[in-house]
Amino acid sequence: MFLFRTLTLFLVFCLCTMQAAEVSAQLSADTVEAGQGVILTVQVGGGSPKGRPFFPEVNNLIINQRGQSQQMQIVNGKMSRSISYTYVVGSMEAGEYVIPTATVKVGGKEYKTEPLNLTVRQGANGAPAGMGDQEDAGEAEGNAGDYGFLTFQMSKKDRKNVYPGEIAPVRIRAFFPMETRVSLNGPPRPEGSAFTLHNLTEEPQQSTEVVNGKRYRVVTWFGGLSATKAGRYPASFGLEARVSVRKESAGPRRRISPFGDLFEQMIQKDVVLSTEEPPVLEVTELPKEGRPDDFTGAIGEFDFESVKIPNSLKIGEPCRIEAVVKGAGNFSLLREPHPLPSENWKVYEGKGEFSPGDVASFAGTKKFQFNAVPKARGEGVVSLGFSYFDPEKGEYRSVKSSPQQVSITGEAAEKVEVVEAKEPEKVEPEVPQLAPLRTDLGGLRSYQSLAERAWFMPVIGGAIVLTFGILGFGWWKGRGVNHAKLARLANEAATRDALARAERAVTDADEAAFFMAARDAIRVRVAERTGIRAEAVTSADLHDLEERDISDILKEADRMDYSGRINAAGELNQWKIKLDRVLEKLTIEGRKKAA
Amino acid sequence: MMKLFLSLMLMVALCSSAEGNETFTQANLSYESGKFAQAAEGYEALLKDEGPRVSVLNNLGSAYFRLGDHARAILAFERALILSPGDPDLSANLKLAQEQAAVFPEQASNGWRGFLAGVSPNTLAMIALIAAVLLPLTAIARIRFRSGARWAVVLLLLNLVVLRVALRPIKDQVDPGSRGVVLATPATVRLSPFETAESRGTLSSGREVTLGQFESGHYWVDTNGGATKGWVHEDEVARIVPAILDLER
Repeated sequence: MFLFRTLTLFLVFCLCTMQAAEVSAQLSADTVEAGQGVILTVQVGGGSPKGRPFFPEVNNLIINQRGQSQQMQIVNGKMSRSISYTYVVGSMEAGEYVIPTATVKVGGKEYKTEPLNLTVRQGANGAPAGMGDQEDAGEAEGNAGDYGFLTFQMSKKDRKNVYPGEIAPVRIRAFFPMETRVSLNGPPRPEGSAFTLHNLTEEPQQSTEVVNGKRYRVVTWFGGLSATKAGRYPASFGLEARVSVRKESAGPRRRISPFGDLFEQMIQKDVVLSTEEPPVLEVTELPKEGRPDDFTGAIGEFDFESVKIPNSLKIGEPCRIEAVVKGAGNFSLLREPHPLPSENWKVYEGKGEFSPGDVASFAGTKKFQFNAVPKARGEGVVSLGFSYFDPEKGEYRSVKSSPQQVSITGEAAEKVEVVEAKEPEKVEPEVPQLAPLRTDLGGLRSYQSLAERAWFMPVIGGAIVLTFGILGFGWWKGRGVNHAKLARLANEAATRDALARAERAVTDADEAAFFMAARDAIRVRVAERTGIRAEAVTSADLHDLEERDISDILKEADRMDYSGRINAAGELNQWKIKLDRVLEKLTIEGRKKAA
Repeated sequence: MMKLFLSLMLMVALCSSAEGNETFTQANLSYESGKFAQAAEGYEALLKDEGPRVSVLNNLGSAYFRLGDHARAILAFERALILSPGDPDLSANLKLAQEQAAVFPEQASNGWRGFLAGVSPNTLAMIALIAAVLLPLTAIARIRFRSGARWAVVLLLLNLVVLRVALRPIKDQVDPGSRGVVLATPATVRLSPFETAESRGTLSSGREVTLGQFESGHYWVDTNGGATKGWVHEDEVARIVPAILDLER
C-alpha cells in the first residue's frame, strides 16, 4: 500500500515537472525614495528551478536577496507548483533605473524575466544612507568584526548648548548588525561626569534599518540629557552588550537548514558601544541678569492650559485654585503659579501632578492645586503667573494666565491678621532645662583623637614587631639546649663536690663534715634517680630507701645531728668505702631507670 | 636674648588668654541677659580666634538652643562631645536639642559592642597604647625569668587580647570627619552638584548625615538609612569635625 502511494506521488511529481515552466517578475511599487527599497518578486511556476534567478549588476542599483517561498495547488485533480524568490531593490541615488532580466534554469532550459522600470526619487528627510537586505553570507563574513555602533541626537539638531538643570530631550540609537545576536547589559550611560540621563525609556523601541547597504537591528531610547557643570564637554555615551557573531571558521551559512541559525557556531563577546564622534556641547550657566523673582529653576517652554479661580472670595478665607500648565522641559522644578498681584495674596504650598505626554516624560502637563488667601478686597481681575527660562531664546520668560473677574469681599486688610490669628493658638512649650552655662573657660582641645595622630599606629605596630623580635631572639638563643643533659652534669658536679668534701673530712677525721657530705651525695643521686631537684629530696625520701648501707649512713648522720657526739662513728675510712658502694649502686640504678 | 624672647612669648600668651577670658565672660553675660544672638556671636568669635574648647562649645550650643536654632545647637554639642566624650551635661544638652529638632538618632546597641561604642576613642587609644608598651616588656620577662615563664606567657596573651579589643572599635568607628549635621530648614538634596539641579528630596534640620565627596560647593550626602542620597549645598550642612578649610572660612 505504502509502495503504491509513493509511486503515485512520484508519477504526479514527474508529470508536474514535464509541464512548460513560467517565469515572471513583479515590483511591489515602481517608485521609491532614495535610501528606501521595494520588493521584487520572481515567480517560477511549472518546474523546479536550478538555483536562484540571477540578475546582472546595474550601476547604483542595489538588488539584495531576501527569501523564497513555495506553493502547491491541486485544482480539479490538476497539480501546479510555483516557487517565489523575493528581493529588495533600491538605490541611494535618485534616478530612473531598469531592473534587468533575470535568468533562471528550469528543466535544463533557460527562462528570462521581463525588464522592469524603477523610479528612485530624492528622499524628503535625509534618512541615513544605505539600503537593502543583507543576509548574504559573504557580506556577513566580511563584517564579522563589526559589533555595531551608537548614535546620539538632540531633539533640536542645531542646538550646541545646554544649561545646567535643563533636561534636553535626546534620542540614543544602537545599531547592531542583523547577523548578530544581542543581549543588552543595561541602558546607555553617559561617559564622564559632565552629563546625566533622565527618564530614559525603560522599553526601547526596536526596528531594522539599512545603513551603507547593511541591515542593522536598531534599538532606540528617548530620554532627557542634563548637564552637571558648566564648560564644553563631548556628549558621549556608552552601551554595554553581549554580542554573538557567527564563527568565521564555520564556513558558509547553511541557507536551507530547517533549523535556521540554531546550530550555527557563534562567538560571544562583551562589547561597549560608544558614540564615535560625539557632539561637543557647551554648558552655560543661567544668566543672572533679568532673572525674575518667581523663577524656580524651570527650563523649557511652558504655558497655561487652564486656570480655575473661584469667582467670589472673602478676605482672609483660603480658596482652592487649580491650574494646569502644559509644555516641555524640567517639570520637576516648576512650582505652582502665584496669583497676581502677589502682594495681595498669601499662597500656601500645594501639590502638583505631572502627566507625561511623551515616552521621555519631557513634554506633558502638570496640574497644580493649592490654597491662597486674598488680602485685599475689591472687584477686579486676577490672573496667575510664573516664570521659566527659555533655552532656545536664552532668556527668562514670565507667563500670565488670562485674567479672570473675581469679587473679593470682607473686612479690611488689617483683619486678615485677625483671621490668621484664629488658627489654634500655639501653646508655648515650657523652656527645656539645659545644663548650666560653663563659666570656666578651660583649656584648648583638639578634635583629633589620639588614634588619629600620625605616630599612633607606627608605635602600636613597632611594639608588636619588637615583641615578636624579642620572642624570636629568645627562641634562637635557647635553641639546641639539652636540659636533661645539663641537669645530669649538674648532678655529677654536685656529687663530685660532696665526695671531695667527704674525702677531706676523712683526712681531717671530721665526722660531722663527712656525714653531711655523705648525705648530700646520696640526696643528689636520689634526685637523679627520681628525676626531681636535689633540694626537693626530703629526709623522709632518703629514709624510704630500703638499702642497709644507706640506712646506716643516714642513721649515723642523724645521730651526729641530734646527739652532737663526736668521734663515735668509728673508722671513717670504712664509712667512706660504704658511701662509695652506695653511690655506685644508686648510680647504676639511676642510669638503668633513665635508660 | 633667649630670656627676653621667652618673656615676650609668655606675655603674648597671657594677653591672648586674658582677651579670650574677657570675650567669654562678655558672651556669658549676654546670654544671662537674654541676648542669645549676641552671646552666640561672642562664642563663635572665640572659637574662630583661639580654637575649640568644651566650655565655649557647650555655651554656644545653649545660645543657639535658646534662639531656636536647634540644628546649630546639635552641631555645637556634638563638637563638644568629641572633645569631652561621655560628659553627662553635654549628652543631656544634645539629647534635648535633638528632641526639640525632632531628630531621633539611632540608639547604640546593647551588650559588649554597646559598651565599647560608649567609650571615647581617646580612652581606647590610651588602653591600646599601654598594652602595646607592655607587650615587649612581657616578652623580655618570658625569656629572662625561665622559672616564671608561665605568668609571663599569660601576661603576654592578655596584653594581645586587650590590644585587639581596644583597636577594633577604633578601626570600625566612622571617620568623625565624615559626619555632618543638616543646618538648613530643610536642606534640598539635589541630583547634581549645582543650585538649579533637580531636587531628589529634603533633609530635616538637625539630622545627622554622612558627608562624602565635595564638588562645586556641594557635598555628597548619605543618610544613615540610605534612603536619600544626593548633593547638598555646603551652606545647608556642616561637618561635625570642621575641616581646616571650614575653619578658615
